[in-house]
Amino acid sequence: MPIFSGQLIVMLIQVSVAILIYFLIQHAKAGHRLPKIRRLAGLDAIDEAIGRATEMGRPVIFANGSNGLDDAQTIASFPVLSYVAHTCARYDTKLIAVSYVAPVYPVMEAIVRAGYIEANKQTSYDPVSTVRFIASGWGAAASALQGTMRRERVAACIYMGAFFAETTMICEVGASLGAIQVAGTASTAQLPFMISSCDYTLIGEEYYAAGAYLSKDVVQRANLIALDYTKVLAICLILLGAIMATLGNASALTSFLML
Amino acid sequence: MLKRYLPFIMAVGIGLSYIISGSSPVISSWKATLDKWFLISTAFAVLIGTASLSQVHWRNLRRPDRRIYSVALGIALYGTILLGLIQTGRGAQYQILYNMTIVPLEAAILSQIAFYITSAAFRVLRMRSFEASLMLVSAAIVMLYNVPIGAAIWPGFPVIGKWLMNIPNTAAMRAITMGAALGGSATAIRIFLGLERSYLGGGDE
Amino acid sequence: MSFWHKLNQMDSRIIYTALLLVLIGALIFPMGLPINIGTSSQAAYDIFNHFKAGDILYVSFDYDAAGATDIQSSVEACIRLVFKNGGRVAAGALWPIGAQQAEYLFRDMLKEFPDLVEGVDYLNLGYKPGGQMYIEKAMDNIAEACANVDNAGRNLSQSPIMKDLKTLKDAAAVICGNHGSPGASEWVPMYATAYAVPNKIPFVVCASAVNATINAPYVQSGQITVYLNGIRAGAEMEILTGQLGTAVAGMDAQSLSHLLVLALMVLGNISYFMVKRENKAKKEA
Repeated sequence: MPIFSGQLIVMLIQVSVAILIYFLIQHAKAGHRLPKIRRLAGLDAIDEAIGRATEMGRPVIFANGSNGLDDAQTIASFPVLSYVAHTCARYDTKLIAVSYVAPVYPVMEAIVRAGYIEANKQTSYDPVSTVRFIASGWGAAASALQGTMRRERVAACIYMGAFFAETTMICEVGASLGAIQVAGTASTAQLPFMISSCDYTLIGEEYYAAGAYLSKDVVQRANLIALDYTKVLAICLILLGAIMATLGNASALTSFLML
Repeated sequence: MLKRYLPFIMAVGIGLSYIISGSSPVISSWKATLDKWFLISTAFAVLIGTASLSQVHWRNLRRPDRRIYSVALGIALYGTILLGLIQTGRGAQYQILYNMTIVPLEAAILSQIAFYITSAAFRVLRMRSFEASLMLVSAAIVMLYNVPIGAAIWPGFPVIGKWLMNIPNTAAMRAITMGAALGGSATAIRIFLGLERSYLGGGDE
Repeated sequence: MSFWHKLNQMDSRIIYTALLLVLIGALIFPMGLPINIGTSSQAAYDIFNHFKAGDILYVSFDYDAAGATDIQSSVEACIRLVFKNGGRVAAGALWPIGAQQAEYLFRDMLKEFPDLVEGVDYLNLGYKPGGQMYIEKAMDNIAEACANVDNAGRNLSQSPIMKDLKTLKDAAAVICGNHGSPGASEWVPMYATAYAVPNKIPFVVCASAVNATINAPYVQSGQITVYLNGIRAGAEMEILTGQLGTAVAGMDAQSLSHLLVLALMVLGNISYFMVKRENKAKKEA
């Protein structure tokens, strides 16, 4: 048998999702309309936050969490960083992008530099002060971030990625400075702290949709919509399983899924 | 062109083959090889961390306002590495260094959370709306469920607190976790299909 | 500015000072508030108190020095019970500093159980990168997953304990000390769901309190056999094992600080409503 036992349905779902993504991309490229993505207040607020920082003449700080390139949350923060860098460059707002995971730092530097080049502001890009590798590890990073935020008196804080225990500390410092704070994470343990201290929070899937939402790229939107259909399938399976388990016979569904 | 496309081809090729090898016994040995490569590359990330940190602080040595901190960091970083290489993590001096610096510093940093949460609780947990009131009451009950004095004040607190943790909280956590997992899969699929290239640097061209 | 306005915008430093005084006061003048033993702690005690001589406990130190304040006391209590019953302990770590925490703990255990022999009764395998990958590999072959070396750099074949611990399936129980990721979220699919649950092997998670909400679904579904939550579980385990330590000492401080937070929440809401009323009266006037 070319497929492990218990993996057939999983593989079929994976292949179906890939086909659906491809179909929707072709559909979008052919000029057909795709379903709209609902408004995400947190992402709309990024422009507001940068605008406020520009008016006040104070910097914007961007932090993308304590996980490395192997975490989808870190990858999902890069489109947001690209957008923030481009917008800050356009309005000549000082941007401080901080990294505290070594392999992520060069990627962030490249993204921010590209954002400045896109905005035709490559002369105002200062690699030393714009993208900073502040520490290695969440503890030292928490202290460094708090110090940086207070010294630079940031007016807008954008936290996108997988955060750990530093969340409460940096969010409280941001709140004490009166900064607008926009956060996005799928780290469920940190969500309560972000929701209570930040002005806008993107929870879980909303955060992963950020790239598609901000870039307005049809390919990304098609991908997002395909995955939403997958979520609908997952919801249907959950409901079906719950009903069958309540009736005392979930084994048929389990056996089918474990084919 | 090689710098741009080689990492992209590697990412797509390895990602897709990993998924297929997890499901198909035909190329399952490839998965075992990739697992070993992953373990090795994760260990190498520690080296990258040291190199990056050194590079950044070497640059800072030229700045008089940051020089002293970079020197302190360099001494701490390379001193610890040297001590670890000579003594391993079990040496007496290494243990002393660890117990006298890392342990109290990390505990001190984490302990700040208690203070920040207290001020956040005062500032944020206000009955501004129905949802905010619900959050306030739930927070109070779960706090009293988590400490011994809660049961001493009223035996009902542990019962209601346990129910809140087991039923509404678990349901919400399952939903958020599943949503986040699907979102993470979406990002991974975008990388495997070559739709997401921001990790290569330079935004998503 | 009225009193209620001032109270509504109270300086955070007053709050920090109040909390500091409560914590220091409770630590210096302990009140001995009663600590009830919860069902989880009792269940963990029952599991490890019935460990047979020779059984191996695998402990994964997935936390750092910061998490140790919450987690170390419950992990230590469980390991103490295992050693008391003649069991053996193998320790790995998915976090780099976890290996150091394991060294720390074994050093303390040696003071209590001086007859323990390293390599025979206990072994620190050290930090293993890869998270979920390591667990998956260790389910088939621990020595290969560890690259055949322990924390001290010795070959695993030199340690007699490894003759009876070829895979994670040979462990009579697994404890995961969980402070974040990698941690319980990686252990649950790779070990608990795949092996521990079908074979009724206890999988115990000792975690910091902030992870309780994340791990609750796993506890409810039975993938985590026993969940020891934070320093409170540590205090309960210390009472059950008869070895009172830092966890019990911190309970009064924890209780009183929670009461302070509740009092501040009530005060904050009272001032909020009073300010709202004053503003409304001003508008009407």
